[in-house]
Amino acid sequence: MRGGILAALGLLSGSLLFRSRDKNSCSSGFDCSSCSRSKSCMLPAAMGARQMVWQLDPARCIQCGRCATNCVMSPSAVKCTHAFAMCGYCDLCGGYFKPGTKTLDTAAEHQLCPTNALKRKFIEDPFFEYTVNEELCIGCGKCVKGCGAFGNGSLQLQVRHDCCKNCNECSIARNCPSQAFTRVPANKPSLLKSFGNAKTAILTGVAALLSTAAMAIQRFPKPEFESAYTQPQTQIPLPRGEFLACLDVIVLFVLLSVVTWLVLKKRSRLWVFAMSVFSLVYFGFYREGCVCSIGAIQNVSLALFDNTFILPLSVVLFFALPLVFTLFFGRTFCAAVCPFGAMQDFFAFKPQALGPRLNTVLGIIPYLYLGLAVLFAATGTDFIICRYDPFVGIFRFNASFSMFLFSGILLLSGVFIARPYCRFLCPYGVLLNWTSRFSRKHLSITPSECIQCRLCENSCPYDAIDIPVTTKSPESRPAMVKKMMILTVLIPFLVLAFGYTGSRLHETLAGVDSRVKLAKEVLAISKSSDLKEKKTGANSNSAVAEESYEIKAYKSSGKTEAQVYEEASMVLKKFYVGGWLFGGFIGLVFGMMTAGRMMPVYRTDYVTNKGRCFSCARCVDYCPVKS
Amino acid sequence: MKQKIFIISGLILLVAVIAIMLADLFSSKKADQANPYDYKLGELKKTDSSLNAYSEQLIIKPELEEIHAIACGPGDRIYVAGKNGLEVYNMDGKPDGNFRFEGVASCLALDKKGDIFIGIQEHVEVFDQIGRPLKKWKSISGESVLTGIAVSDSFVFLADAGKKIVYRYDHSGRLINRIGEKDPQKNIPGFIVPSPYFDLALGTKGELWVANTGRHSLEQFSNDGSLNSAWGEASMAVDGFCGCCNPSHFAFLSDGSFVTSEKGIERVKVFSPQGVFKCIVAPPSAFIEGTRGLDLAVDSEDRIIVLDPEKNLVRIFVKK
Repeated sequence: MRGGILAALGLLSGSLLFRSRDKNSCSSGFDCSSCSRSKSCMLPAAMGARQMVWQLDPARCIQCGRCATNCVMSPSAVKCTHAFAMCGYCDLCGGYFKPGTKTLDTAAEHQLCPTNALKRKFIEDPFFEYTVNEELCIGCGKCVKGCGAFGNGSLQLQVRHDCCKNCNECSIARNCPSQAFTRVPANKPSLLKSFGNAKTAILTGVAALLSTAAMAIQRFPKPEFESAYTQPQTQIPLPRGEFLACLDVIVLFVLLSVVTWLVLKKRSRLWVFAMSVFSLVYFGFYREGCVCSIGAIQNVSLALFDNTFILPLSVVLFFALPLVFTLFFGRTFCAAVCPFGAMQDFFAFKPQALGPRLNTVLGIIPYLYLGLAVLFAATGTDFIICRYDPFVGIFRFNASFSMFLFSGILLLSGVFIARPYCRFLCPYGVLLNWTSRFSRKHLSITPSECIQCRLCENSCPYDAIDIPVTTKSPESRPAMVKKMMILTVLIPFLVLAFGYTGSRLHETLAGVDSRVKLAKEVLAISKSSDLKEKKTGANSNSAVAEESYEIKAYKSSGKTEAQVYEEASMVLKKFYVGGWLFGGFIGLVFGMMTAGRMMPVYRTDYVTNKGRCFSCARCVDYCPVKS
Repeated sequence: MKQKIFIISGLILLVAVIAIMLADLFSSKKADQANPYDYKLGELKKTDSSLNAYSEQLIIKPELEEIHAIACGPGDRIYVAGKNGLEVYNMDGKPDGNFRFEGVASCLALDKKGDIFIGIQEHVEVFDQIGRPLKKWKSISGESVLTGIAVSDSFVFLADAGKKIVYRYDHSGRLINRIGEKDPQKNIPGFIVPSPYFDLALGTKGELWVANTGRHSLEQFSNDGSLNSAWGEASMAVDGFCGCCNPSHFAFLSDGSFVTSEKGIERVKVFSPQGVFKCIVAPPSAFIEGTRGLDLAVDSEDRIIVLDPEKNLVRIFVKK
């Protein structure tokens, strides 16, 4: 079974990373960003390109201001960036001056920027240079809007990678009404509009030059300065080095190995605790909780269903390594490698035993969470595990009040219910639970023979110790056959019944998707305008309510209503199928739980529950048998 | 008892967390629309309706793609040029001919005879009224971008936005001289062209006017390149030219008044021959936000013909 799981993991990783075997040639001239095979290519350039970072596409940006208000960083990691090559060096700069300014000087009251982050310097008549003070810039996009409306659009919003945490799910991306946020290869981390090469650009045609869209790609001859002024180069900070992602994987592997050794060989709770402190510091506060194995579920799910999504090798390893270790040694990842677990461990001051029933009922939640997380990720809707990551704000010392409140409530509940997230929410815990059941060398309470001293009975704060069950005589063969027959009917029935229920809920589930939300909004507007026309005549000029940013973005994208509905319809179809699968999965979980309860259990010793045990080694300290 | 209280407290908090997550995930509330940093361009585009002295009389829907240039020719026929072709309409907006050519026209003018001069990227092609090619001038320069053309009885003036210069040619395509090069001794400031909008036109007396868009002014040159006069003011207000580079296009009424069009704040206005603001032809509300390249022409009845490339329309305005 272990071999089967291992093979499945290997196949999954392999298929996601190395679909192509072409190592010898590059037909795209090593331009990975435009190559359709970059996802599967094994050339070094393509492997580098697979490290992805967030970036904003200025061509789609509508300057809604959400970059300033939705970034997990404060101030935002999105800053105004000046593409000097596009700048007209205008005296009357639409990005610098407030509208209606008569005196074109640097007085604060004339400046459009709310933080005075844009600096104006006289070069020579009639040219002025504008530079951005990034420490002051909050990424509000006000100057970008002014420059785009009245000028060449040289002021553009860009994610500054030296400020960006490169969250697995970017908070701005989730809220961006124009889907301007996208993942780009780390070796090409900018989407800054530039005019490109002057001659080439102009040769591409006057028509393109004169069109609004073409302004993005054309270079116009820059002003001919007579003074010694040299046009500055636009600086784009590079993202975190790829070798650091490799370092993270190495640290993960070493930590898993060390913790496994400490748990199984050293059997030392103290050292396990020390390692959990290290994990909390490294993966939590230093790496700020991203990317983690839990969130990696979504990346893997999306990559499985979306061929265009590039899955970095480091993410695959973050997903697979803990599972592989668990398959052989139990959940040592949960013991001291996962920063979430470590964080909650510190708050388990008054852990209470919940009892088997409560554990069973609450234990269903992670399955639901996993199902929803995979469904939303696979449909490209949302990364909900990251969206409701309870600790990332604490790791970053930077979050909204509601995010801190959310973390606070969870940690507070953890005072009485030890590791509430790990036990009753963590979707990755479901996968670890499954694989751990097949682990060969799992932590045992006693190193040799249990002496039934009962000292460990209450040692586990996670209710993961199975107490001996009074020996019963084996059930009769007909009774077992009857049970098996019931299960044979019951499990498929539950899978179908829940699957059907899931499919019926597909519209509700799809309602989370921004494309479906947009379609609903467009439909509502369309209906209301039809109604208005009927009431007041076709050429009514009555005032209309201000459009939402989503509608503005849709209009500026040039999409037709039919296209919006078509997109939403595709999403709904995906959710219909996904609803069946999600429901079926939950039905199967219920079925297997029922089967587990129906099967007779015989246990003579106090043993760890392989599925639920976090291998934290607390119980080991209680066992008087030391060798 | 104490244990139960602890468990219940813990459970309540855990359920609260899950409830918050579900409520947030499945709530149908719209994303927050508040933008504390909103730059309301709409406010700038509001105009006093009493200044609107024109009304839209006629709309023509050309079949061409990427329309960029318009001109009025003999018999007040309207010529529209764009990608790979030209269409002709009579003064009532009815189609009156068309022909095809290779390339994207960026500027267009006709001489008295009715020959059509079309600026295509960095060269000029001349056609007769039925579209027979008469001459193809040699390319000016690889960096040239022709954005304006005007034809007098003896000369053809070309505005090259790429080189930021105006050329004077004879009708055969021979370069005579360059106009507008920076020359402090002659008090010529030079053209500032921050974006590819650089128009020129001939006044009622045949004098050459050029839009120095970076300086927000209209400058009048003699044929030898001397700068005679200039007017214009940078301002978001209705009596000035907004943004980095305006007016993007202009034309003349029969009394010598200037008709100007702008980008940024999309509007068409009339100024007196002395450069004093007179009235609005088309306010910003008449155009889609972001419209650029509103080329202009005026017919013998002083109807103002506006090319709206965003809507792909030719719009004709008449005085109320």
